[in-house]
Amino acid sequence: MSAPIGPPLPLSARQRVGRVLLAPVHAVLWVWYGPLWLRAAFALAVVLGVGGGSYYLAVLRPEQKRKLAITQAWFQFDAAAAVGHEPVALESIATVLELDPGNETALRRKAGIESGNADPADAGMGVLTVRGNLRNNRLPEAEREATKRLAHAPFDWVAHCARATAALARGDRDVGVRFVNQIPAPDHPQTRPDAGGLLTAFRLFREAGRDATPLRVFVRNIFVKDLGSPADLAAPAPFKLQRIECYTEGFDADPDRPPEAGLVSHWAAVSALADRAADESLAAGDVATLAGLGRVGARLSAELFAFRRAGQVTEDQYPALRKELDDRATKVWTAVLERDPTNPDAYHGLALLKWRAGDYAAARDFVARGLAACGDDPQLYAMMATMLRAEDRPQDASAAIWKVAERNPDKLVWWILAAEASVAARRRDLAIAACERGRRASPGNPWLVRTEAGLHLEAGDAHKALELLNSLGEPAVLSEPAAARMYAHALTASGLGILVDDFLAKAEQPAQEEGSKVGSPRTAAAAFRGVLDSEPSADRAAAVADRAGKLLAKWVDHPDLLRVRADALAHAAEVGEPRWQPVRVAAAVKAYELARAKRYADLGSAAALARLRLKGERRPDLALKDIAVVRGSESVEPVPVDALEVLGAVLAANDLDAEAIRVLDKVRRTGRATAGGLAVLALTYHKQGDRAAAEDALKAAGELPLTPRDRPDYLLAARTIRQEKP
Amino acid sequence: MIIRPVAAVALSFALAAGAVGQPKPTVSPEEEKARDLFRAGKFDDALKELEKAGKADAKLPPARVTLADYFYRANQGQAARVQLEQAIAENPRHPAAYLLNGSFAFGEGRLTDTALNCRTALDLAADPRWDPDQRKKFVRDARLGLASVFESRRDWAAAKENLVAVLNEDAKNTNLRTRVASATFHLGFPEQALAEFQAAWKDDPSADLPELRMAALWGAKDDLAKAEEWLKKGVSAHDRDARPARTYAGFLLDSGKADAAKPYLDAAVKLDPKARETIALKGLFARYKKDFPAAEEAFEALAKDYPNDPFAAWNLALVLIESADAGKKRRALDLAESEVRKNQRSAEGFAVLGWCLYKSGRVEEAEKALAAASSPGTVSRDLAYFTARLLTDQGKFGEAKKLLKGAATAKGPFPYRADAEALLAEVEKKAPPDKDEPKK
Repeated sequence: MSAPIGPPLPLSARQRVGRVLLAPVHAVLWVWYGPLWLRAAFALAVVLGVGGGSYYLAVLRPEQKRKLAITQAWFQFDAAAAVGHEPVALESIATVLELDPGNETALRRKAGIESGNADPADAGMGVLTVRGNLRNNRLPEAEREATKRLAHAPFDWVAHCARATAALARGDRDVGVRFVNQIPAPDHPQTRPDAGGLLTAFRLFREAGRDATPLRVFVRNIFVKDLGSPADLAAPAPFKLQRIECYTEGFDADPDRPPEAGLVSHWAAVSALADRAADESLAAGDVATLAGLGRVGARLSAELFAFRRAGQVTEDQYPALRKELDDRATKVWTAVLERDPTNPDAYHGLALLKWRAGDYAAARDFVARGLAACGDDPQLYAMMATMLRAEDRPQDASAAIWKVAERNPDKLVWWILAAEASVAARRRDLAIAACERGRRASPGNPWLVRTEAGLHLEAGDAHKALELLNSLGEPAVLSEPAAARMYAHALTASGLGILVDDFLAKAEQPAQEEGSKVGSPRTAAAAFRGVLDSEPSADRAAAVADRAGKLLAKWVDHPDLLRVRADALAHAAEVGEPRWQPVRVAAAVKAYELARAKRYADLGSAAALARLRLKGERRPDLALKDIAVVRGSESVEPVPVDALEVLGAVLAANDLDAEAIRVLDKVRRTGRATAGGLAVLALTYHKQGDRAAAEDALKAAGELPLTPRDRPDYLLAARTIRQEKP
Repeated sequence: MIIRPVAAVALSFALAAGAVGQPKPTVSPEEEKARDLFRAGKFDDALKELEKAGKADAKLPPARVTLADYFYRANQGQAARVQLEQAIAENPRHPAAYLLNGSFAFGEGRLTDTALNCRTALDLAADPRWDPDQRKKFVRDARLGLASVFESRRDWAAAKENLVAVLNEDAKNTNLRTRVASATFHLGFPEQALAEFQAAWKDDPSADLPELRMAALWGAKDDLAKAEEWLKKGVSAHDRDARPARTYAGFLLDSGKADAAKPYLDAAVKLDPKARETIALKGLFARYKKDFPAAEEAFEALAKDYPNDPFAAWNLALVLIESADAGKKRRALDLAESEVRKNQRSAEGFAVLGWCLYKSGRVEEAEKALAAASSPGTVSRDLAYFTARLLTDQGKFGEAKKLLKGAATAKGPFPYRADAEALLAEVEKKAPPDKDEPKK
């Protein structure tokens, strides 16, 4: 054997490829020519390999893919179920069933969605069944499903709203109110209400009489932040509309309060959203969304006015913004009318726009066309009545609406309109008759009962008012500030003053409850005002002021309480002995100043303070300063008649006779002037040397009831003009 | 059974004959002795004493007239008449004898006799033998008697004439002025009547309030709207007086407006919680509202304070019988039976007993008691309901329907109103149609 000569020579590339290619052949040959056991083992390995591979390819791999697809479908289902997207959820279930026709969960869920009845243990189904039942207006079923859902998710906003909606719809007010009160705070981390959910909650809060301030605060502070976001802009038009509607809900219900400062900064985003929604709806021919945009436009218009009044929109900015709103409204209403010529909202919207633009004839034309096209539409008739009143034809308005009401005796809305029109026509008898007829159509209707009670109060029949309000039941009276006010008035005026303190205590109760979320001092403030409405004694007025003061300790700076306290103190100063005692006057002035600081735009408190300065302090110069807001508003917006009358008296006291005569004459033309106001007018004419006009005004004053408040002015005028002795 | 505290409080007082507020005459020792002797049954000795008294005081009526009065008061009418006839035979020109004769006649409902006697007395009073005081008294009594007769005959002009003649002599007499006011009202001068009521109330603030008097008069005339108007005015004008609030609450309850009555009742309870009428009304209100524990509490208190008041006992029985407690039911029956025993002529007593027996399952006895209650002729609304329930159980739907329909249109309080309406609805389905009913 020879020793190796040296290291083996390196193989060429060709040789290496040849070896690799020949290796299997060598291996086969090696096995083929190998021992038997090797050949047998090899054959077994080949058989097992081929079999296993085939099994994997034919069975295991498709099964794995199917399972993966099912898992993906359930993921998709969960995502859809979380937001209540039923089509996607059903699609996911269909996918599962296609892959696994016997899948029990899928079958159960499918049946649950179809019947609207979910398995109580299936947490994921609640949102779907609640929303599905709501969508199909199956409220009892929605309530049932909501209860199931809340067992798994106690802060689910939609489930809470569904429960409350169902209870209120079936007339179970106590339960409904309880459910509304259980709706969680909108900023709770587990709630996340969307625009639709928020709008539902606003409606429920209104219906249940719950203070919606927490919702409004949420809209102002959190909701508005995302307005105009890319997601918003990409959302379908109906969702955009909901977002805009939510924005308008952020404004305070009290028009005397300035809008929250933050809201104005989102105006541009809202405007852009509305423009996009209008364009998209126009392109899609979506009449419902277009009409919704038209309606929300009217609210935006009111809010723009509030911005201007509060100085948040300048006089320079206002006309352009106004035009933008009106143009959009005209565009959407015209489009609605083109697509649906019998849509009364469109006629109403366009008439309103024309009227505001000063084109009265066109406005009247739209109303007439609307009535011809849509028949007995309450909204159009209401507008027609308003127009007839503006034309100084309130009797015609009343007669027209009565005619339609007689044609539709079972429809409540006509009797409400007939009552309103009769009130405007100063036909209290007809208004009461309309309320009575309306109550036949809808027994116990709170609006009609309150209106009729108010009419009886005006007519001096406090007992009848009390009887009507009693028919509502105490809880209903205490849950509605207007009813509470009338009730307190009726109690005092009917000689049941001994019950007033008990009633006021009940009205104060929700406001006094410690840590109460639903409590509000508005009912108490309204009840206090009801006592003042009955022209009480100085002692009772002082007691009211005291009660309001005590509530203010908890509800610091509450505008209603501040105002009613000031009014009570002023009343006590006026009717107390001696009249206008300086200490009492000073207390009332201070109270008004506090009230005005919180509600600067309240024309009523400005006028009341000015009157106090004039009569109590005998400072016409200060009165003129205080009433400046009324003087400024008089030419641009409707001002309450009593505020105008005070303005006239203040102007006269400051020797601004021409303006005083103009204002007081304006009041006289409304037919709602008091004997005192007419006496001041007479005196001003007398000062101007117009004896005939002075005598005429004095005569008119003499024909009106002479209240203790009017008496001094009337006597002074009579003494001065006719040289009558007191 | 409920009319007394509610409607009666509201409506009847104006018609109450005013006891003329004259000072009580002083009684001489002889007269005292005569009374004692009369009580002892020594009538001749009593007469002698009275004669003695007459000699001492010539202004006293004849002795036999006074003795006749004693007999009459002692419910010995025959003896009284004998004495009076004898007195007239002995003193045919003494007005006192005719006045007493007139009084007897009025008590027995003989108005013409009363008027003739009073006129005779009036004529005889003109005799110059009477001194001014005697004459004044005879004239006054004769005119008051005549006024009572004319009031009963509803001859308001004549009644007023006589009353005014007496009032001119006694201007501060509140009762008289009230009667004058009522007569004036009936003559068709409500404003003048109000002025008279107001003058009477001014003279005597404890008298009934003018507004309530007016309400009662309008109520008696069946003008319930005007009655209600005056009740409202009463409540508004007297906010510190429980009476108007209470009366109006009663009126509203009678009208079936229990909810509307509540604030007025609350005010009355605040102003005068312990008054009998307030407690009665509270109980009645609770019965209307089917608040039986509250009703029981009210009527229990009333029955305790006024054990002889059948109203309290009847209502308590009606409330207790609604209880599930067997002891209370037994007590209700005892109370109802006891009241019937006390007054066998009271239809209301029998009605309450009938209902208590019915509610205890003793139907046959109930039927008898209810039949006894119906026999005097007038059927109260409650009785109609009780009987209708029994008839319905017996399948007599037609009769039940008739009774219930009558109850629905009748006036007065009706705590079973809702039950009666429900029963009527049930019965109407089963009863055969009325012959008078128009075919649909």
